[in-house]
Amino acid sequence: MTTIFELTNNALATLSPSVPFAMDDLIGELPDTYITYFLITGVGAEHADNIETARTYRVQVNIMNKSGLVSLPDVDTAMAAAGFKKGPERELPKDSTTSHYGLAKDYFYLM
Amino acid sequence: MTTRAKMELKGFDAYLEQIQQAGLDIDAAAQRALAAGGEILHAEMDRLVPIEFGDLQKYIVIDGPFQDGNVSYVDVGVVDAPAEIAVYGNVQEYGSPSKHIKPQSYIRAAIDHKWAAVKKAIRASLKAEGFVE
Repeated sequence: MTTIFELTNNALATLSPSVPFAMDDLIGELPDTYITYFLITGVGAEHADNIETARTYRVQVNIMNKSGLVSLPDVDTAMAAAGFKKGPERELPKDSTTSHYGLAKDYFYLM
Repeated sequence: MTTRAKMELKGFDAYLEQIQQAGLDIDAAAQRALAAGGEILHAEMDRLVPIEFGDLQKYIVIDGPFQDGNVSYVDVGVVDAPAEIAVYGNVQEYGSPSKHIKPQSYIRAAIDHKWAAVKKAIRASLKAEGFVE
């Protein structure tokens, strides 16, 4: 069975031009632009006869970029093509050490 | 920098309409219902919040219910916290990728886990008023 991690991974792998990405954390020297993702919740959404029949996942995708947030990889299109629905997004405070700006975007997937 | 959930009674229009038609104090009923829902969210946030020294947990509160015009609402989450606690709460909720800090969501996760229970509590509170089926 396809997992939420596989779905997210496959969606981000379609970005063109490609962007380094990783689940949870990108190890090593951070590139100017990169993406990390994290599963926030997986919650039963539908039930029948006391058995879960559908589950909603919330995945947070962080787009990090040293030159700001004006021009970012088109993650929305990649995630939508994989069946994710857009959720809330918010700016992450600029990292004073690495100078990365960040945008955290939530996506939902009903599986 | 806000890390909290705001609950209104959108989606309960039919219930509220029935209360209003019964000639009752709709605002008081709405606020009691929101308070009931807020208690559930607050308990889940309290359960999920990462605790190192407990400073963040102290500032997770129910603020309200309030009324703004004909809209009643309640805020649940980090309220009136000092700046350093608010920043810490934000980092815990959303993480800090460039600092290799992963999110430990206690606001969004509480909403996702308990939203059905919150709606149920709101309905139950409105039913307890005795005017909705």
